Amino acid sequence: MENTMKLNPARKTKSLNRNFLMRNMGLIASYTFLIVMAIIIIYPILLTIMSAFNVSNTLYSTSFFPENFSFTENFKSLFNDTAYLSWYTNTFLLSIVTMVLSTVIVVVSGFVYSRYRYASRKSALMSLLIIQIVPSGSGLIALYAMASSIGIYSSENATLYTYIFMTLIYTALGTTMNTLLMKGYYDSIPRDLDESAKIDGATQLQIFTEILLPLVKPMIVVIAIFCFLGPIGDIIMPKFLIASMSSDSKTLAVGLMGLINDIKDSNYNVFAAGAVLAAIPPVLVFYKFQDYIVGGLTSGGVKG
Amino acid sequence: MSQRFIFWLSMVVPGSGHMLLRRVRETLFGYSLLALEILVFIQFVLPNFRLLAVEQPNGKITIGAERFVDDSFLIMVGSTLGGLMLLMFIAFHYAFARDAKDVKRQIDVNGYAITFTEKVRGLSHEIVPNLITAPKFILLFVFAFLPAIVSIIVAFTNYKRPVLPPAFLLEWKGLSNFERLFTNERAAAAFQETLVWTMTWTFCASALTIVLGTVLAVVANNKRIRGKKFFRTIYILPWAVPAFLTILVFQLFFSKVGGMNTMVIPFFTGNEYDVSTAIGFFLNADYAKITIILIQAWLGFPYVFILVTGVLQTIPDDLYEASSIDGGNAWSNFFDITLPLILISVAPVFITQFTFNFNNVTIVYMLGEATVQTIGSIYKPLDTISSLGFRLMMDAKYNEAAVYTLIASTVVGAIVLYTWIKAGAFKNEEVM
Amino acid sequence: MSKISLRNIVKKYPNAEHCSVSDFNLDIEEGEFIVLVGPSGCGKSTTLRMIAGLEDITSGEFILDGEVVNNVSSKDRDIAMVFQSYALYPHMSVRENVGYGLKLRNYPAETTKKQVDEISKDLFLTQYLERKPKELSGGQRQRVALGRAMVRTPKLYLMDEPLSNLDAKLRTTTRSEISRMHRAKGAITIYVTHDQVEAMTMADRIVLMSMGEVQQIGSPKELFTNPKNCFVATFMGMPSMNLIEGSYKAGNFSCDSFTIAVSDTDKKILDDAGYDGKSLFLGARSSAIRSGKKYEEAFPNSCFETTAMNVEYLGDSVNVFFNAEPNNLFVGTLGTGEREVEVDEKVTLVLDNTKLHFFDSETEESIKYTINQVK
Repeated sequence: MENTMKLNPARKTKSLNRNFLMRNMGLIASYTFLIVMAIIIIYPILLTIMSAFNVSNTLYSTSFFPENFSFTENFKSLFNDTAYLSWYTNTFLLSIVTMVLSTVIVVVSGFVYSRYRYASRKSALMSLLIIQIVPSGSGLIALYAMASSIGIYSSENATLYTYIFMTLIYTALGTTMNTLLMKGYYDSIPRDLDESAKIDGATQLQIFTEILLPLVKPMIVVIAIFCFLGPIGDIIMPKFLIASMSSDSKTLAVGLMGLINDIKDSNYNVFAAGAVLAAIPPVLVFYKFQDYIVGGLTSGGVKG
Repeated sequence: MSQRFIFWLSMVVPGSGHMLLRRVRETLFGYSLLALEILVFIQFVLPNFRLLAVEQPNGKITIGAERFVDDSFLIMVGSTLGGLMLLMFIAFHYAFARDAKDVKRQIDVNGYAITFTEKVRGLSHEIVPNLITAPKFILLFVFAFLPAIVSIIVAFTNYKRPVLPPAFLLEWKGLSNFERLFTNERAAAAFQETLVWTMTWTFCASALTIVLGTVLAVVANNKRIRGKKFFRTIYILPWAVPAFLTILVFQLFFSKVGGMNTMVIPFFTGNEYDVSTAIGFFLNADYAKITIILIQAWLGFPYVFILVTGVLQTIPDDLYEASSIDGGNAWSNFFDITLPLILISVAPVFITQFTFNFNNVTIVYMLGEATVQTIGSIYKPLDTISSLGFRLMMDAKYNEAAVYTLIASTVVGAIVLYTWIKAGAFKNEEVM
Repeated sequence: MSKISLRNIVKKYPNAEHCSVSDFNLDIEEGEFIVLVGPSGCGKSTTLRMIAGLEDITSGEFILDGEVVNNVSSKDRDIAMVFQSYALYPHMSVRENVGYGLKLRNYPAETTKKQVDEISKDLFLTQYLERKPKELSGGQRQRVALGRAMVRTPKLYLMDEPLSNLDAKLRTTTRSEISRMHRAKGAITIYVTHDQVEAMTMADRIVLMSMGEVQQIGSPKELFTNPKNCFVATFMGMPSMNLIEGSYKAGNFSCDSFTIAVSDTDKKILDDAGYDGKSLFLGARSSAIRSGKKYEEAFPNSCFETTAMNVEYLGDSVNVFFNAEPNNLFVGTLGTGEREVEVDEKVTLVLDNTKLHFFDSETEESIKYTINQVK
């Protein structure tokens, strides 16, 4: 084959051409596939953004671009006619407090499991592994009943107490898998560094704060993001625990779901405006720390 | 006075074994523990246990004796705590018994044993790590472990509206909540249907997510494709936007007045939009089922995409170079090198996809709200075992909800446990 | 009184069957350079880590400056250590790495800077001070690790195989660097290595360990010329000492391939020790194996026939592997001035019988050890 090609230049060009076309066919198919998928992903999102700026009186719209563009109209009615602002603050306060609490717990206990050798260490890790098998929704009934039995719903500050209650639940649930992830990341940092610092004269606390913390920062970021995004995206727990409360007490997820299911007295475009505003912080966080998330995921996931 | 005698004596009365060995401080310690245990038992455990099952004049077995006085739910929680405390007491006794036996052994062998102070000093490095991690375990105990246990108990009671404590006493129902699913003809048929759909949903949604994510990753990571960064940025959007938002957007999008009917279908068919002929994707059970699987694939594939992309980047180029020297082409490259390597590294993650979708209440419940309950059925077409647990909970049918949650948790727990044991996660030092 | 004493040090890990280190005893004088050497798993690193306070001492006493410091934590023992992996803090610049120990000990920033600058100049690191460890080459990292230890003046320097990650050429230069630094600082250095060349070239005294036990302690010369047992004899020196199993009778050593006469001194020693008619090991370094007319005339009673199996050319000399039928393998180091040997050539070898070692075949202890020691 090699020989014939050398002997016959015409044939060589021909086969090269065909090859070229064939290869390009594959490439064209690949691009088509990738672009179609990109459109499928981006289309509903863009449509929602467009709707957020469309003011219409009809229930539906047949055009992609706003028929009646207004930059602020939908947002105005979002803030005036619904309790959107308090949903927003409720949700982000809940997420941020949860994030801080769980991250602190995870970072510290991951350090302990990685660096201390003590009798109950193995059983502690094992119980974390077992506890996280139990689906997080399974205890909801009891949690709700517990909350009402200790008088959270009948108290004057029912909303505040419910949110504290939810924060603690999210924190507890967020610390199992993440602690194991964090511990794995600590384990990847050679113990030589601890020992070297110890000989340099560092206390255990200094080793933790000055040597290990800066080195596990990528994982801390990942875990903080997971713990931040968790409560924002969750609808199950708030739906169940704050369903009967006043509109002001809702989270974004519950509030927006209510908005859409009462579509008669509200309007799709207002919902779209609310959705766009709600999506901005998580999307920004996600894109800002994209590399960390990808890194954390692959390091944790691939290890399995 | 044998070691065994000392052991069992301390097991019954902590400190007594040490007393025989003339160890003053351990003895005092053990006796005060016993005193504390008795106090806790009389003050807390016993009152709860006594009220846990009370026979009423009408023959029913209730939790608590009197309405408004006893809160059945608190008694349930209290009894659970009490049971766990008894286990803890046994553990304490065992620790004392072990120690007493150890002291005796040391005396037998060496003629002396390490002193109390030395023992405490030896334990001191155990205290710090346990203390630091204690808050986490308290949180987990109160907010994850205890509720899970109590929820299991609820499945055996009649806890549903309007039987709400403390206004009513809960009644023990034994296995009847479970039995109903199999003996009651209508309930059984519906349960079977739900079970089939749950399995279909879990399998199809996960498989589609995995295939889509993997194929996209492989195609997008082809060396000849340009604009990788651009595609990646778009492909992780569904992950970045909170799922509840996209689910709501899709709920509208596929409704009779949504973009699917007003724009997409007219674009492809050329027909003008007409409300009367529009398809309500969630109003028809079959359409709803297909739609929800597609939406879940849309939501879930970025995770797999990123994961597989990560694995692809770890595959060294020389593997492909070696294969091309051996005469491999693009197909054989994919099936003989790429795919096996992807599978090895991410197989465990694929399994979590299955358990995730089995347990995925959010999308099923939210889109389920848009569906219509079939006349004569107690279920909605999209209900899975897990989502049903949640929906029944929302309807305040706690005992029935608990039955479904228990079934779902058992299935998921069993699968996860099985895969871990197979993967050797419990022996593996990496995990430990 | 010695600066450092290690008394009956034992290390036994929980659940381990054997001790990792058993009954280690050593007194170290001011300014000594001690090398712990042995094959991997012999307990040398464990010993060093116990001295550093990174491992608990199971039993025994570690006395530093007259005080038992078993329970003193590493940071209060006033030691500096160079790790095999260098253990440089990846997030700190070279300057911060070197100065970290000083910073932790609350030195004023001025002093720290001055000292770091000085040591960096000494180690040719000045231009890299602001770089992170991952931007440095292996040799530079090694120097940073060295600098981090040398910037302080502790009572004791510990080095755990600091050269094992360097290539051969760098290893030689860094070796002399460390010796130079040691002389300049004058503090006790304990150095762990598996490489007997490092031990020979650097040590004031070598502690040779195997299976958790000390085999012999002494100066490089002592270990080389008067090994206490077969293990020491074969471990020290390159190529390894030839050991031939055979028996001694009336001034003659014979094995299945040959019989040679031992020297008069050796004969007296062996006879006195009661080895007449007993089996033993004959030890001969490759340098005691000669070839050529000159040697055949000098040692007429210790010649035998062999075949050259392989020749390794080393420049100034050649290592030749011989086979004395049926199966006694030898390695001899021949100077280039001696006769050239080719593979498969029949060669008459001469044993320089003034340089022979004898070991008990049961205990593998050197028979001449105590006598040589007295000398």
